[in-house]
Amino acid sequence: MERVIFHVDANSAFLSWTAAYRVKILGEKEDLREIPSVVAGDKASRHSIILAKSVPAKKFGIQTGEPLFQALEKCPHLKVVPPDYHLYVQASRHFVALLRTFSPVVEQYSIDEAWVDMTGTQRLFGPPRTAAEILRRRVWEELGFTVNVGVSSNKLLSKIAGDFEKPDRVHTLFPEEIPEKFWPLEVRKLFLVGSATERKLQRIGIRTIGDLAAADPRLLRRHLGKPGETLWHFANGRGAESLTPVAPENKGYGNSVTTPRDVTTREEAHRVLLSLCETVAMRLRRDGKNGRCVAVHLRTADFGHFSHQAQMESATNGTQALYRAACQVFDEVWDTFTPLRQLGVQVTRLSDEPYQQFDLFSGLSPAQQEKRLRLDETIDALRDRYGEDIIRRAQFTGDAAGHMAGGLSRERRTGVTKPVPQEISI
Amino acid sequence: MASAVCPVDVICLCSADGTLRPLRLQLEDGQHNLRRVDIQEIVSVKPVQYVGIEAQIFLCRAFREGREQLFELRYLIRSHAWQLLRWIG
Repeated sequence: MERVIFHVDANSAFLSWTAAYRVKILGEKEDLREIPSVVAGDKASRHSIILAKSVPAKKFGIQTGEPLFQALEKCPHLKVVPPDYHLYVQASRHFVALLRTFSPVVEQYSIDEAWVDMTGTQRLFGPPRTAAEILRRRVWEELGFTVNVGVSSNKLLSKIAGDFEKPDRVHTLFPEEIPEKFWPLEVRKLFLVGSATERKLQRIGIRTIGDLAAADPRLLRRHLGKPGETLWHFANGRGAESLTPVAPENKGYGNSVTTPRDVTTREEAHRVLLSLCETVAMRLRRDGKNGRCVAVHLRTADFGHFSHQAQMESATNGTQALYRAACQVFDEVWDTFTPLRQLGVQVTRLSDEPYQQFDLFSGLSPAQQEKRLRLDETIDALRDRYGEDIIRRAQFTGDAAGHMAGGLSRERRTGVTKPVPQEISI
Repeated sequence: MASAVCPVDVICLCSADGTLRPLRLQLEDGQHNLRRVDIQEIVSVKPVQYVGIEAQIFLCRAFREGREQLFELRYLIRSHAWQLLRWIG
């Protein structure tokens, strides 16, 4: 039986979810999707970037990921709305729940896109294209936003088909359609080809996906290494065939933060590291993991990047132990004068062991180390129940933000960047 | 931004089996006077979930301004808020 895979992608997800909420729930008459508008963070913040844009905003040359101030230069009357991550998580959960009514095998790729294995559903929903149209219409009618559906026989081709023409479209890209629909495309349209890879491919005369498909894989391997061969398979329409409905486990836990102003002193940097360790360690403990390797990532004010890592004596998820290791790594890598705009902490080499090997040379007795573990657990329980601000370390007293820094702003710590595990049945 | 949706106060019956039945609503008219409307009949109830916001839309019948009228009320499950969507006629 031929496989049928759908790739379903919400169009301008954050913007259309916000727009649908404002129109359908709040009853506003102005639809953000019909005017130049963007979803972006706080204008005053240094890291405010465009998270999503409307089709009219795109006509002004505004791109996702560009700084907000730059977008406002292109379109001064641009409507800027803040993100609402709780809404996005709700929308995403219901979106995936609706997909599960079509097939039990759904692999969520991100908050706004997923693959659905529709193999063997022809008697239920008709031929693939008809089923895709039904799905597209149901999402619009029941959830109030538009999606693109890419239909093919594997994940790779269905994703590429889903990106063809937007919004609110169904496209097919079966293997027999590859020469006509796939090969004429520019090579940067291929999955995993970014600007750097595109430049490398152009240097060896490869401009379209068809050029790449016809190239000698040994040549590609020589210029791009092993990924070159993978791209050659992709260009020939060979990608991941089956879906993995359960998200793979994290290989590491990390958070980073762009500070409101450049960090110039060691004490200040250690404070930021502590606030990062608070969130990273809490996530480790929540998932019952211990980590043995601590890495610190630094981005300088002129956007240079450094990172350094060290192994600890034993795997841990204690905030204090991680903080001590992170400070040690930081002190080894920082030159003490380069201003830093972003700091990150990552913990890898994870283990699931329910016990921890106490460090004989930490200067703490086993009883004291045990006490620290219990303290961490108690703090986690308090924060879970009463919010993050219920308890903070004394050195953060008077600090309005900052005692729990992380890659996700406070309102985003909702599972928004990962497939949402909680299931909803509809 | 002008809104077509009007938040309203509602007195409702919460049954033991979890069903809701709006009985009376209170809304402001154009002159900022409070008006009460007794709901005569719930014609239909439809669950909706626009953008993941779970809600129930009640099509109701009531006497208003001397005549029988149909209108739609929406109950937002998460925020426990009632909204008057529209008078149908």
